[in-house]
Amino acid sequence: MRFDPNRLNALILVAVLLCLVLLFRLARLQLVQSDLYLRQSQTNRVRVIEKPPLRGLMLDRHGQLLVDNYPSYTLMGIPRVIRQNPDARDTLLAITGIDSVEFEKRLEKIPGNWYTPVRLLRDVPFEMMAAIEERRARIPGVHFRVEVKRAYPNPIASHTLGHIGELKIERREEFPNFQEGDIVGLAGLEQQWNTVLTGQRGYEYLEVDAKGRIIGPLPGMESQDPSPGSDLILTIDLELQQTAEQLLQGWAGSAVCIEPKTGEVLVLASVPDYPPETFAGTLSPAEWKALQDDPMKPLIHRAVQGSYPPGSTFKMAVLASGLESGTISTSWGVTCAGGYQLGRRFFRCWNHGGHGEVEHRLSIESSCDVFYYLLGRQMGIETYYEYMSRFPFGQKTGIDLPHENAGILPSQEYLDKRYGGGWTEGQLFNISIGQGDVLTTPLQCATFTAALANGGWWIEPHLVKHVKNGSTYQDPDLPLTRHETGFSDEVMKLVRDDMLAVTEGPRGTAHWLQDPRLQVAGKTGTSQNPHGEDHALFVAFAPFEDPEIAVAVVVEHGEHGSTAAAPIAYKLIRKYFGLDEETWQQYRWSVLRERANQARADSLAAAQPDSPETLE
Amino acid sequence: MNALIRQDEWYIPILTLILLAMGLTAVYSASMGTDSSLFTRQLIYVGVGIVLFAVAAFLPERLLFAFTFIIYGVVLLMLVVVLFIGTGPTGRWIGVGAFHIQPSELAKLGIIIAVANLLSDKRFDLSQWKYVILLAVVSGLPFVLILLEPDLGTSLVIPVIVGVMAYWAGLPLLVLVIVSSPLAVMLASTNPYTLTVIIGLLILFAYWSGIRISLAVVWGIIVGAAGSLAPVMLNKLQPYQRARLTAFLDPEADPLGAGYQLIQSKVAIGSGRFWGKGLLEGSQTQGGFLPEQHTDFIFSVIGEELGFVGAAIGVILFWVLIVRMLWLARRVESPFARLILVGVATMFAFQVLVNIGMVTGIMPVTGLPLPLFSYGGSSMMTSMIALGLATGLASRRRGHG
Repeated sequence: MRFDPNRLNALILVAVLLCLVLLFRLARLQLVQSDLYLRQSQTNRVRVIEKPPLRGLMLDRHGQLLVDNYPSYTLMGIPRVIRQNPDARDTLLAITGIDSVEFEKRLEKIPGNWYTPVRLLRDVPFEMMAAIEERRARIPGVHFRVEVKRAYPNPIASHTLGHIGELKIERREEFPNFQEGDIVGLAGLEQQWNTVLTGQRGYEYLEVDAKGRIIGPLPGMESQDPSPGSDLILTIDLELQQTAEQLLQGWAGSAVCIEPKTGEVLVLASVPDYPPETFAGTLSPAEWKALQDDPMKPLIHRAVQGSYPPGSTFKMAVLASGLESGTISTSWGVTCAGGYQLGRRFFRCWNHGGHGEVEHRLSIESSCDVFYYLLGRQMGIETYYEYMSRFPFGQKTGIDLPHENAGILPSQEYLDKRYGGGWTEGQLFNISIGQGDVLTTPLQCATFTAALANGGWWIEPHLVKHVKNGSTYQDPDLPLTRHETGFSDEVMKLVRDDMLAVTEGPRGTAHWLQDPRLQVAGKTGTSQNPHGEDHALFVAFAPFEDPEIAVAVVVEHGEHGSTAAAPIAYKLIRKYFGLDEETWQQYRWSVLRERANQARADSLAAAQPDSPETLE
Repeated sequence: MNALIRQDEWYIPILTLILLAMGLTAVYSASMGTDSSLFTRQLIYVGVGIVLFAVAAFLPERLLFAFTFIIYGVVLLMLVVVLFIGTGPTGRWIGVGAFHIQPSELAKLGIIIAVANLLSDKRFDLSQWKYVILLAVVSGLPFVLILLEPDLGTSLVIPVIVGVMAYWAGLPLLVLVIVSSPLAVMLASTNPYTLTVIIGLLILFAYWSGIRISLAVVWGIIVGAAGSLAPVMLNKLQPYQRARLTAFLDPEADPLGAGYQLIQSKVAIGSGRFWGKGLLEGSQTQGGFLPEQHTDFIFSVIGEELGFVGAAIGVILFWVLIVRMLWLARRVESPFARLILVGVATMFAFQVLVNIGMVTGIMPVTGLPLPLFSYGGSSMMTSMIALGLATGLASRRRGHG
């Protein structure tokens, strides 16, 4: 190591030279070429116009259009330029008719950013556009942006489809690649599949003059075309969904249909709903409040967010768990005298007269509660939870929709926490008949039914069948996991046979709905709730051999599953298989006529030995 | 008696405070155009920086010397760790609680101290190859680790700092040229004409330095062959790796990103003219035309709003600071302190040159921050510790024999 003073002098010399290089460069930019740059900056001549890509469409499983696009024009304004021109501001207010307070609010949309264009008015009508264009020279700082709006040629499934809108700062975190003010999917499939539907933004570099008029493309900057988003081919069946929504009209409730073998969701209906275009335009705060405060709660997607006690539709799961765990054998039975006395409390069976001797067949066919009270007690909470949790209860099904409700399947920890260890067998009684703490979504009920139909497995229910990009069809990027319940074939078969008895057995709770053309296995449910009349439920799959459809219907305050929910499920099943209603009606009449004739014959036979006065 | 006289260094702290004030003004102005919370955070970074400056200034030289290789080891460890658990948009940060540290920034300090320690040893004779190689290994390890992050901009600072420190410590110019030739050739390799000219110059320089012409030609051919292979290897890289490299070598190839920023930056600075548009009046700055202006492009705020006067004062202040440190390097007696002063001065000179060169369009867009100006905690910490060390080492120039 030797320090040579000359070397240090050389370093200082180099440093001073480099300093001069920078100073010369600054002088060249700021003194020599400054006029050029000043002109460029004064006119803000570069404007980057985002070219929004065409958003992907949504079609039903047969290619029927559900969500379409049409262009709309949005008036954009640069806050600073507008503020500097009070005349222009007044002209704008006169033409558009925007309230001046509201106008100021829109200008303030992005605080502190004075040059970023903000939306002044969406959906500008053509005449207004022409009026503004005519006076363009006197209104600097405004321009129009083409934006895509959604149209709904077949107004169905509004909750499932969701809607698009401006990304607000509060939800910025949910959309990592988007900025405040971008148009994104804010709910439903629009939100879940936002990235796929959106496509790639394009950019156009334009040269504009001091009044904001476009001169032309900026030299030297290639504009980039947007690439359109992909279309979604949904698993939804338009006609079946329409039928479901019509059938539920006037009630509050939900209907779900699933293809058991594929997990494809054919129907995901929630009523009451709202027209799908409600959120497509501008919604006034009053309209929004009215929707939110509506006691019928039309904004809730009942099929995936509603939570209902499953009631008796839960019994198949409890029965299967009892058999699979070895708690009971197939010959196990109880005597139902209309209820069961537990300590000081009497737990009723819905059939106050009692079912008499009940084994598993009758417990499902005629839905005996006492059978399940005692079965639940015999299993205990640990076995109960161990086996029940193999079904899609108390967990999200994984459907491709945001904000799915997981429901509740009580476990020991849950009950300990909820009741502080002070829970009794009463709670166990209740959760064994699908009441008490048990909560499910209609989608969970349908998925559970699909698992029974399949004989012990289910595929995660999903709503997108294909992603279509141009003319190529791709499989959606979904984890279509096959869930195995691990229940044995014998147990599953026994439960299915019991379900068939519900519709075909002599004491079946849905016996009256029997259709000679199709074997349907089902289960009625009536779930008590503290807020009024009971909810009616019905789950079913058909055809009995080799099922193609699994259905769950919930009708809020529909009182009894067999009267309110089951007919809707049957109509959906008939519609799916193309069986007309008329034939069933005629069959039903003939059964009733036959029964009347039989009754007359019986009473005649009974009256025969007696004197004729009984005929009076 | 001299040993008791303590002469304090005032130039560095005063220049630092003036530059910090200018930097804060620029960040304040830039943050008005985008996100006003940036300024508050930068204010905290400056506060922490001033504390670190003071701590570094009062750190005894002996202690720094003794802890050299612990510091170096910690730096290496952090560079390895960030490769695996790096966070942030580019994966270059390590999260420590609510704070994020960018190890590549702190690494520069570690290397300056480590190299100064080595070179200050009397036995470390740079005319012997084994010492040159040892030096190359010590500085090469962190260099490669930073390159792997990948952070090409920061990694390039290291060979420059080490090269200048070694030059001051007596490294033969020929060795410096030979060692740096592969890098020069690689960077020039995309253009065959530049490559040929550079190889020619290398051969000539080697011959002029007294090497046999045959040896010089062989060296030129080896380096040339390696250089011409670089484009072939480039094609073997992953697409994103290639994109990063080509964006560095040719930023105009990416007009949407770097090219757009460059145009807007030049418009901002050029339109500032002699006196500038006035604070908070810059239409480019306030209009948010420059994405991420508060970090790498911060100097364009000065250029637009304070004009040529402000920008020139900024540049001159930086160079007074740099030349002052070089000048102090002559006056202090401890070789260790001399080398650290030269290292810190080089670090500042290189970063200021590359950054201001970048925003004015004469240097490629590399993403090097402007010391004391650019928004960011790690850069602020590194700069302030470096200047604190320089102040401390210079102040004790008569107190330490």
